Amino acid sequence: MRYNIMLQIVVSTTLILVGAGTFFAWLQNRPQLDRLEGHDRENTTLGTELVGSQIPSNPVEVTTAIP
Amino acid sequence: MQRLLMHNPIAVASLWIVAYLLISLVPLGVLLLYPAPPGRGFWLEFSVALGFIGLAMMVLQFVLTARVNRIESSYGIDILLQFHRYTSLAAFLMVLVHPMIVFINDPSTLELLNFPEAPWRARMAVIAVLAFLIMVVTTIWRQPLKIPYEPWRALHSILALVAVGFGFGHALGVGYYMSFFWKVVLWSALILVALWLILYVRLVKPWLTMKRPYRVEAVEPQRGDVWTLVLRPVGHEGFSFQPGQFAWLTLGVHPIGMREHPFSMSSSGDRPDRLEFGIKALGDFTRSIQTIKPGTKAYLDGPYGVFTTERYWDSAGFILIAGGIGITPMYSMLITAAERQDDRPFLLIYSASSWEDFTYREELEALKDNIDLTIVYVPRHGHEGWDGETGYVDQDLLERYIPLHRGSRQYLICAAPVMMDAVETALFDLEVPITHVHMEHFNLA
Repeated sequence: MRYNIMLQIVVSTTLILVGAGTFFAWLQNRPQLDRLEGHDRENTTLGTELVGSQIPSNPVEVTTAIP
Repeated sequence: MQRLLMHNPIAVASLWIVAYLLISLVPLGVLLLYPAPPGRGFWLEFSVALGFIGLAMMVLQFVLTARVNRIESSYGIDILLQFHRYTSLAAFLMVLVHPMIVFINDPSTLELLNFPEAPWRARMAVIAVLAFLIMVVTTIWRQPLKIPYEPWRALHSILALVAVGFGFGHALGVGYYMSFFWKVVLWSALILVALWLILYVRLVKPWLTMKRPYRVEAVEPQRGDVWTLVLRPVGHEGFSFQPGQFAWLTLGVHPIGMREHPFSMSSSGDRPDRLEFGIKALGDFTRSIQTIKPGTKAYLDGPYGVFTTERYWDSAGFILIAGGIGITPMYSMLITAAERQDDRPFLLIYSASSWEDFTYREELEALKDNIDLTIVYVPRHGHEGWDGETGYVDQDLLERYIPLHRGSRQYLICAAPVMMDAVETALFDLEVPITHVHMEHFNLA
């Protein structure tokens, strides 16, 4: 019984973690226009300019690196 | 409210689970503080998320196995170790799925498996996954592979360090998100905590243990192929414990050698100057106990465990159900109760192979003079003239002896896993409240 409860907790927590991972991936891939809401569209364009100075110094590494 | 959170065991246990989830997700949450890199696609981001969560879960395994008393007291060390096994498997699956998604998403990345020519970040990933794989295989199939406990434990620690270290190195090398300042700070802190915990368990704690040595006073044979190991503290007062708890025992070698084994104390919890352990000759180490000479140096790390009568001060009485060597913690509970002149009723249902195998039989009978103790012996086969119970501790047998008001007692079970599961199910069917049933798997390895 105790082990069953513990196993259920492990399954639940794992599902929550995978769900959070899915949510994270979705958040990071929302349509670009969603992220423009509240920004000054005249001074902001799509793509790397959007994140401007906040992206790392070597944007190529961020966008093209593979594991 | 504060009292509920601090003292309700379910609330405390739930808080630890929430903390586990939060720590697993914080590394991912921090990324949301930064704007997302554009156009990498859902599957690549999902793969990255699984990688980070898997790595965070691996780091948390160091906490689960660090014998942190506060965490352990909420669940019991056997449940915590089982949780460690299952969550490690979940982390392993995430770590495996992480590159698979990358390979499916972009088949050209399969070239990264070409170890000699792959960049270091990919080599580190391969080494981390292989270390994790070996760790899982040698743990699940340790006994079929005939790997002795002590070398396995040392190997397990080394592989864990390699898996986490190289996993972290891989994440740094790839550079996805890891160039963010707070991300690096957070991961560095997590890795440092993991390193500290493993250093604490493997070096600091053994060093502290070494400063409080014990000496073997006697090794006494008992019924049922059990040996009582008697230890006396040398140059210190020893430790008192809650009856039913256990300690990690190191015999004859330096504690840093990691050759320690968990055993329940069988003596009174109020006698720190003389600690006794009932040890059955079952494995490679336990079979050698009978050859230990008096005067041998010993070291103890403990006490640990929540399998004790002490936590249920308000209980009207106790039902103790023991199978074989599972009598050891029960015997400690009964001796301690006798010394404390506990006036509550104790019912001991005790199962063993035969009448001759009931360890501490004479001592248990003698305890009846001091406490309200009823003993139901259940030998597998009764000897000639035996008119008591025989066979297994099943639902019918339990129903004959446990009180009608099931919730008026606390039920403690210690036996082989098969018997514990059967008794637990039977008690559940007899409508014993689940919160009143307590168990300890004494085979932690």
